[in-house]
Amino acid sequence: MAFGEQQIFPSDLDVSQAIGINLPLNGPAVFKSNYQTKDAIKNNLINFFLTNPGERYLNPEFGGGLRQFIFEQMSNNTIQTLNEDVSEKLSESFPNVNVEKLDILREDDNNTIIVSLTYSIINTNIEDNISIQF
Amino acid sequence: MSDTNRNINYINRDFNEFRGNLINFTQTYFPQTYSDFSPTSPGMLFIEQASYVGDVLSFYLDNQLQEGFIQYARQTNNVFELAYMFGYKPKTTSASQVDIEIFQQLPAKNVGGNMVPDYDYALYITPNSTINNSAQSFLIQDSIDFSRSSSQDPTEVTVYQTVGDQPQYFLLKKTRKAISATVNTQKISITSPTPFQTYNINNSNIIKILDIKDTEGNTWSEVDHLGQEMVFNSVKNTNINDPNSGTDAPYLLKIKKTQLRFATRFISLGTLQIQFGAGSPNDTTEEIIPNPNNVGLGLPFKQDKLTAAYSPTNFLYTGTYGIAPSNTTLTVRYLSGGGIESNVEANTLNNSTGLSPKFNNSNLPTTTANYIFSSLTTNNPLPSTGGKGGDTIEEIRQNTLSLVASQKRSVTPNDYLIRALSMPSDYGSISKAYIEKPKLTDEQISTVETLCLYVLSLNSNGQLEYAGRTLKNNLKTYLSQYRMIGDSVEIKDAYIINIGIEFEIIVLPNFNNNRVLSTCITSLKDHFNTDIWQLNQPIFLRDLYVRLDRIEGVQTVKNIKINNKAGISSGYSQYAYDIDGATQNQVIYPSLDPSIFEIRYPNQDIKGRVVPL
Repeated sequence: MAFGEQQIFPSDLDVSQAIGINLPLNGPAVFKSNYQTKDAIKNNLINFFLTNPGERYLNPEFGGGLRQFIFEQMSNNTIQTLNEDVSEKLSESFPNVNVEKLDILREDDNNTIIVSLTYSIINTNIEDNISIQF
Repeated sequence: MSDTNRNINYINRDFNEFRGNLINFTQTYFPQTYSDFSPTSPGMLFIEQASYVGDVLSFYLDNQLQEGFIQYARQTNNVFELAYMFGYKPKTTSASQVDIEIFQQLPAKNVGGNMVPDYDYALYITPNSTINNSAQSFLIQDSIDFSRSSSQDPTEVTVYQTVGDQPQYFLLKKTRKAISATVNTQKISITSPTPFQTYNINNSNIIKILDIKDTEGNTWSEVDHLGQEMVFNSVKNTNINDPNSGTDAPYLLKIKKTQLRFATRFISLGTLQIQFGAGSPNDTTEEIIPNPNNVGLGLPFKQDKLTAAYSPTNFLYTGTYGIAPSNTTLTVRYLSGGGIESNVEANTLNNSTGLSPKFNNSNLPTTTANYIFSSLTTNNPLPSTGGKGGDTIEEIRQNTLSLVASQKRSVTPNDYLIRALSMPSDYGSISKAYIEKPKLTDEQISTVETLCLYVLSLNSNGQLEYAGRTLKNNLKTYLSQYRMIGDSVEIKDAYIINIGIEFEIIVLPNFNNNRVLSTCITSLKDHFNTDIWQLNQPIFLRDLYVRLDRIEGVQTVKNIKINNKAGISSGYSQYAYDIDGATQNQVIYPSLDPSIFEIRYPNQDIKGRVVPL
């Protein structure tokens, strides 16, 4: 790919073919389908962060596992460790996602953790970001 | 596409198979609706949840199936239920057993110038007496009657005390088996009858129900299942009960039909459930003998009588299954005990206060009677063994499977053999048994499947004896409950061939001749011990040579000669036998009719000689 060839997803060309489902599950028929790979990956990432390790049957390591840190004492070292841990898990679960920027912010007064992720999809022009609050 | 045309795979077993097939199913039938099957997608969450449910349901299905087979069931209650279904009663405890020696003194009396034991002072101890040590109670289930002695129940008599050179007191010894158990009593008051009423007895280490009696004194019999009407009944062998009886069996074995019956089962390790039937005390339908008018009486339609499956234990179809007790108080006596802690050391069961002895005769002098009472002692020369917890799951499984194989029916000749040997000794004891089909010549044709059961008993000296009439009648009654309808069993006496042995040996230098000779005689006694000798067992002379040759000090066995000993006047069997004619290739064969070789008087019939080289 010397000249920066870009990959496209064939299913994106078929506008009638659904790929995944959107989160949250609040569509008219519970499920609301998405039709672009970009949307599917974004929802998969949200699903990843909302899942705690151990929740998925026979896939116990899947999930961001951030919810357990809400009431923990968060030092800079802890956040650094968390950041590395999440990045590693993302690379394992999403091999085609390149993490551009991952910020894990804490709001001690509100017992809140905010995850802000900027990512790109390898070999495509797709770049997006998500922000999830715990 | 119609739902009915969809290809659904019904043979998925586990999570991965369900997951893979659901993905295939979605790809096949919903290609436009969903196509992201990566593990991270929310849609896969639902597919995996469905797979999880399928996996769990499969597990339960497998588990249900597994728990339905005695070979594979793992849950205790299921194994218990399956064992009961096959007729095996699991044990929740195992009592230890021990041989107890019971001693009493008897005063001597002068009879014709000889001092002999005065059996007027012989004690009788009732069944189910107990002997205690500091921690355990042992139960002797059999009665002890010092006034009688037999091959099954010998009494050892020795001189205990002398005045001058005359015996003043004799010491009598009897041996009984005892189990570590305590008799417990529970009363159950019942007013109105309730069909198939159950009552629970809660106690740890319940061994079995000893008996149940109602207010009127009726004894209720335990049966394997409530449909069973016939039970064995013991009647003391007295002149009144059987004027022609012999003395070889203390009890006569009878079969009686009873409506007063109950069945038991453990519903947990500490709870024994007793269940009674559903009949009314006024219902006499079960008393009647089967005839064309009452067989199938309870069936609603006449046509059903043709195809109904009848059993001799329930041919009326009235469904009463015994009487439901009413307006009475049942006294339930049951045994508890056992466990590993019930194995006690030797010489520790010496407390005989629980034995409650009495004399068979009354009007005996008080002083002597009290002395005799106080002379009653007990001891266990060996430690008790066998005490442990209840059946393990694996033991229940294996015992049940072995019980299924026996089916409580005598089918093969060996079934009859084992059944005959298993008859309780109260009814007389069969020492040797051999079963075979009658020998037919080529011209004969048998129209009846007859089996010949040859038996022998033992006399009070431990010598082989022909079984008496009472013993044979008891055996006949006992076998009748397990006999196939087409089988006819003829109980016959086997033949006893008494023999003597003469042998010559050369002893090595530097060995004491008498000592080597004594060892050889002891070795031959062991070899011909009646306990280990079987009917129709040949004598291999070569084995005898080898046996003697191995004894330390024996250089060469020069000769071994087996002689026949016969003649009632000499105390031997009435049947003579041609030993030389029956010897082929150093093997002495028994007769064609079942017989057994016996050295009746080993001390005088085994003779050895040391000869020079």
